[in-house]
Amino acid sequence: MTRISSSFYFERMKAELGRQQTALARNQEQIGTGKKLLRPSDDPAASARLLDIKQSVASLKQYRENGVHAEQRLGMEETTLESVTELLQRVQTLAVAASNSAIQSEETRAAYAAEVRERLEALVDLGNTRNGDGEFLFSGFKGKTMPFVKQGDTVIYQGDQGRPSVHVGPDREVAVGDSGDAVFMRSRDGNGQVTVGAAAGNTGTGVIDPATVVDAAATTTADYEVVFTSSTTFDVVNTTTSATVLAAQTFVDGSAFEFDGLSVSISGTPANGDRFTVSPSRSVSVFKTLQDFIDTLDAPNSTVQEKTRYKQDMASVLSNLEQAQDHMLRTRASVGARLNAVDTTDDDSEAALAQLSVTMSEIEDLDYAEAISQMQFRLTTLEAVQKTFVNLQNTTLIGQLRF
Amino acid sequence: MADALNIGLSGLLAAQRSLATTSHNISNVNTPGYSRQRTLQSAPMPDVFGNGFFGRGVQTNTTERIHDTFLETRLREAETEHGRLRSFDDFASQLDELLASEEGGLSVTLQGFFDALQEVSTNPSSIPARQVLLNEAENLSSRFKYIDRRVQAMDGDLNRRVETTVQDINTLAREIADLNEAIVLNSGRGGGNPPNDLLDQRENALRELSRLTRVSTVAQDDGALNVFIGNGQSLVVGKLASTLTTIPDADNPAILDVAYDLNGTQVPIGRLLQGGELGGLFDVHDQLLDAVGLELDRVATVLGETMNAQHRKGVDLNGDLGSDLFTITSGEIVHSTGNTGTATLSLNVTDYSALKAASYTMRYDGTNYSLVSDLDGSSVSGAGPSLSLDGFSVTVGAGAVAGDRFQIKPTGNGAEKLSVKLTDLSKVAVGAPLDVSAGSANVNSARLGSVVIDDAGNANLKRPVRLTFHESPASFDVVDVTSGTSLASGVAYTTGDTYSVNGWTLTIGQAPKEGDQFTVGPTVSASGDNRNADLMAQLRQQPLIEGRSDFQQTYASMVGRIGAVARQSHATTQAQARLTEQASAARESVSGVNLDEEAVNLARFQQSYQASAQVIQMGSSLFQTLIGVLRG
Repeated sequence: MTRISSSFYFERMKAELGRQQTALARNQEQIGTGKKLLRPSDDPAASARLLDIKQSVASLKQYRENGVHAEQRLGMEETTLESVTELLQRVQTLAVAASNSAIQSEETRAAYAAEVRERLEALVDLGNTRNGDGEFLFSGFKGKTMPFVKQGDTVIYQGDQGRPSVHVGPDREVAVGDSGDAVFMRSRDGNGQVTVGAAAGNTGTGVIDPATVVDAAATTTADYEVVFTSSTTFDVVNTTTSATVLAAQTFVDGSAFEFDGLSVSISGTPANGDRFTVSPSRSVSVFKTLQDFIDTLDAPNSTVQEKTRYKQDMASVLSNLEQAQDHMLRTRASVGARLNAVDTTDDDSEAALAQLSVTMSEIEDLDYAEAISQMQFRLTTLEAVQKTFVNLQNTTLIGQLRF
Repeated sequence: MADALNIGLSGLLAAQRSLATTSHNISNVNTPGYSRQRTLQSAPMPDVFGNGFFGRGVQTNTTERIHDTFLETRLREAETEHGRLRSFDDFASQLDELLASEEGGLSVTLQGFFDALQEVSTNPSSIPARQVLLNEAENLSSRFKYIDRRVQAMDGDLNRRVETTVQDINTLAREIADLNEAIVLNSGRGGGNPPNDLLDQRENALRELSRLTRVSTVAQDDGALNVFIGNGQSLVVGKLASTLTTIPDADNPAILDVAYDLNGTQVPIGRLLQGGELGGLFDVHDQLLDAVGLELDRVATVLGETMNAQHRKGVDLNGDLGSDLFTITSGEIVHSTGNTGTATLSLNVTDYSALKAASYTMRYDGTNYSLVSDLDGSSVSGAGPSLSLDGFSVTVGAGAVAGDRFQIKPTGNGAEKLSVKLTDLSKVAVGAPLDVSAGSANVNSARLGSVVIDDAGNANLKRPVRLTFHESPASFDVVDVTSGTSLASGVAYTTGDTYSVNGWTLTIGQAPKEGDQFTVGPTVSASGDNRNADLMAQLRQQPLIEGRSDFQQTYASMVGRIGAVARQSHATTQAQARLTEQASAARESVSGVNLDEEAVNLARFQQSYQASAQVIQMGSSLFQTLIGVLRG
């Protein structure tokens, strides 16, 4: 039998009451805050994880905000490019009409020229579109610099080739814009691969038709010249290397001849000494294509040579316009793809956020039912301890004995 | 008859003595450390007559305490362990509480700072966004300082606790020595009978002492008790008590060590004083405060420097290269107070991502230096003057003497020293200094990859450089545009290769066509250029700490570690409290006073007193009878 000392009995009672009350206070704090985890020591691993999850939540939210920003910028670019496409379509319609020489007159050409001038102004304005923050959409990194200005008949680009991008996901970076250089200054001339032209001093009525690539592997990056050595014979010279590629060929109207992977034909009647150029496609600005159209319409158009020149130049304008529209479509496709990527990433982020919120709640949120029943249980225990103390208090021998 | 009277008297006296002892027990029911006493009695040598032995009543021998030395020792040991755990747990709880609050922690401010960076990256030309960034940077630096100060305040608390504990030890040592003197004196005076209450008092003092530090005792024949601490330092010898003092730690003047007076020399013995509250307090600095402080310092320093390094690679609104965003610590070196040499050390961090949250000890043995990590024991040694470990190097100047010791913290004071250096909004380096532009006559619209700045300090960084590409063989020529000098020609490449010059590196992503030209040149007035801000914002989730964790993760795992220590400490403290309670219950079950028991004793001795009184009465009436007969 263990003896119980009287003072120790009180000490132990005090300690027991203290323990119960500490546990109750903790219960109460949990219920008050609604949190299961009050201190890292409650569950160290979960606490550390919770901090990590909170960072993930914060950065996902930031990424979603970035996504909204990217959508705004890209949406704006898309709208602008749509207008550009419509504008180019209209100009294309005009060019098709203008190249039909049967219905041409000085007045209709002047009318076309007037409209294309208007369209060119409108195109420059589109190029100088600003975003909601007042920054230019197409000036690359130089947001405050007006990208396109007209100097005489030439539109020059003042921005840089920067392509601002933002992170819309931890590993997903999206370009939220394209520089004006890429959008407006780098359309291709000719058919996108090869371009043709006639020399300025040609006296015949020969017009070179658009060349086609028949053997891509055989093509070079050199410039060529078709030189008529008489009205029926011509040479093809690589002007980059000065080598003659084809010599003393017999000219047949409209019949194709091939060299270095290219197929070329010339229609009409060229004169001795006429020259035609065949070159790889190069970058041409959309503005220049429109300006070329205007210049062609404005050029004198009465002699046979002038009419031939008109025909040749309109063919270039038409193919350049076609390339410009293709170029815009490609750019728009890329913008669309990026918008799509932003959307997908945003969906992913949203799903991840929902998942994280659930996990976060599981880790830190209190199960009220459990907490309250636990508190009830502790209260009962505390009351029991108090009651037994009171009862035991009344049963001491000293109180009963009468000496 | 005379016998009956004498016997009755002896019984009366014995009962009186026992009643007094019982009363003494009752009145000391609440005296701490009191051991109940009992009066021992026996029948004295009987009278011998021819017809046998006749008893002479009762005699009281002595009053003894009911006491078990083994239980007392066990309680003392339990108290020692409980003291250690309790004082450690006090601090663990405080730290736990500090790290618990979301507002008080680092996470929220860290997020705020990186969110602000991201905002600047999204709106590079926005002045308010830059303002917010600088405000958040300021918040971040003051948050580091705040947590650091709270931790340092706990170090201050710790020092005060060490001081008061040492004072208490001294007081108790004095008390025990005084009691020794009284016990020796009174044992002699009491004719060898134990001075029970003095013994209790001494045991009580010893128990209080063992709560403060671990003690061992040796009892002397004369009744004195010698007390030893640490690994045998005598605290009390007979009636003499030693005095402990506090002195600054030799390796870390910010914390206190305990010194023992050895023939006039103050010998530091803090590390030897295991167990008890004092032992717990020494554990607090090593296991809790130092761990938190070093980690905060490291995160602050690595964050500051990686931000600075990236910021220096960017350009501000004026097109100038960025300067430092933060001021960071240059580390901390403490020369041990015992050093006799004059050598000074210089510290140089070579790789911030390799730094550990550790302090290091450097020693000189006369020929070689050794640098040892206090964290994991990894070490390097050599004849010097430079030693490198964990991403930093230390160079020792002339004048070191064998036995010299240095305490090195590569990121020491990092949290306290981190402050925002940049104040001018226009100087936030949001853009990148270089951009690649394709030549306008390029056949193809190939884009090259982006330019990465390797060395923002390169003098030629911003000189425009032109690359002209050739198709067969795939190669390019490099020309300095300004001077026209060729930097390289015919450099062969395949797609994906990089080319580095003037402190930058370019990736050739797509194969350009013959004659294509690209110019890498300075970006000019590019208010929409967000490239550097984006790179800085991306540092949020880079594993920059030891190549494993980002800043937030490192902080979170530190919180987790401290939480685990606190949890463990709560659990063991509670368990030890129970054990101590049990040890105390065991002692009390032998030595404690039970009032019911004493009430029974009271009744018992009262009865024997009454009975003895009856014996005397009876003796007296016998005497009267005899007298009457004689008269009659």
